[in-house]
Amino acid sequence: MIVNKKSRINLGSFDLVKGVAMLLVVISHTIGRYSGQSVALQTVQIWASRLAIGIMPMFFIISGYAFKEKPLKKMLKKSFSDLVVPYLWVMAAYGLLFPIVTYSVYGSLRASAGRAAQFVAAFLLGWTRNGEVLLGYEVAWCTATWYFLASFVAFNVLNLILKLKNQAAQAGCVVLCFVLSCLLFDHGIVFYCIPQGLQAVGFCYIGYLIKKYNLFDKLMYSPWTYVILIPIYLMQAKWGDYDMSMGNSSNMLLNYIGAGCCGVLCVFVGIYAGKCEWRVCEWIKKIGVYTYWIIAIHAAEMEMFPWYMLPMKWPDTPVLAFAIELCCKILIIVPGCWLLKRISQMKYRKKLAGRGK
Amino acid sequence: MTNEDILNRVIELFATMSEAEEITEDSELIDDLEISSMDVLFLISSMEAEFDIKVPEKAIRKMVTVGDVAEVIYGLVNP
Repeated sequence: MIVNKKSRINLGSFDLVKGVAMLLVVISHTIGRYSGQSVALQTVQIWASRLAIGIMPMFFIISGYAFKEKPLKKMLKKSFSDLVVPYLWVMAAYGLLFPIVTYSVYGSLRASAGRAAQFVAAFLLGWTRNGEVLLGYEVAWCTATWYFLASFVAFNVLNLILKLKNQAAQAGCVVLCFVLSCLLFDHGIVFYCIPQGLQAVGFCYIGYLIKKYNLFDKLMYSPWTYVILIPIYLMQAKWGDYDMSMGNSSNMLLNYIGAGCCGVLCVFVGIYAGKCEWRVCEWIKKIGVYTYWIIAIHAAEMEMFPWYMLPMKWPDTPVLAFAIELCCKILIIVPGCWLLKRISQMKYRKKLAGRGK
Repeated sequence: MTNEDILNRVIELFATMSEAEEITEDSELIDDLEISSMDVLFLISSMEAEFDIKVPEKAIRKMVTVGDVAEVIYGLVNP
């Protein structure tokens, strides 16, 4: 019998919260198209966006929890293969599939190739702001895959910071990263998600400290945690406008701290709820296992398919159009994950067989 | 197959995935081996093929240590 020790985190602890987060990401990226036409969808969008504030910090806090300091070169190599390589695969998917899909809609090869080139340029530059003009050329954006690049930056910077043995110096560097990220966001043109990555360092560091000092139980079961974190998060939800990918915020410090508080709350509530074994929870946990793949597939489908045509097709029934788009996205993401799972399993078995020889 | 045989095989498989210098029965999957649920799914799928068993996903999610993985496999191989 498996003894699930109270202070230990099991494999499924984070799956439910990651699954809910992924659903919220896909819903919030879909609902914006229809919220102007329906009060119900507008309400859902407002609540989803308030909860979504904590999603990216939550992912980075979980990453920080699992973070282990490594030699600089080793970390660079590992994070490159884990994060930058999948990013480049999504870029390749845009470069190859986008012209085909766009051509089938518009029938213009030139226009579809041009749009694909805008996306490939945005991916190569790690650019998160859609439709801006750089050096006279319009570039698209690297879509939801900014998360991969930001993680790459964050993990390597955090690894560098952890080389400092003095914890005050470490904390100082984390604060410096935040200040630097604000300055870079203000500057406007910054490539490769560097400011996003620098902001993520703080969230990862929180996760790292929680693990280092074994604070999960202490914080999770203390009412003071919630007495302090909830009001800060509510203040942020009321007055803040945090968007980690764009950094277009008027009050970055309140936003940053509020989003961090929301992220920590999401992790704690997720771990509580993760113990639930209802069928629906088990289903959501399955989504949580494939987070990276879902982000990659969702990033590829969100711009590649002509979703913007749906509101025009069903202008009088926005809820139905929204439901259809969401179902279609699920029908793309689920087989996509299945395919990636098969490919990864085959690669893993090949690797095992190679070792056996 | 004894519990020890299975444990040794599980440790051998984890060594292909983790960069940890030492893997023991008490090594924690997340904390010590930096293994994710997805990595364990691959590992379990290769063990399922090897031992002709089916490991329920619920059991995978409750695993904390390498010993837990071996225990579940042992329970299924020797019901």
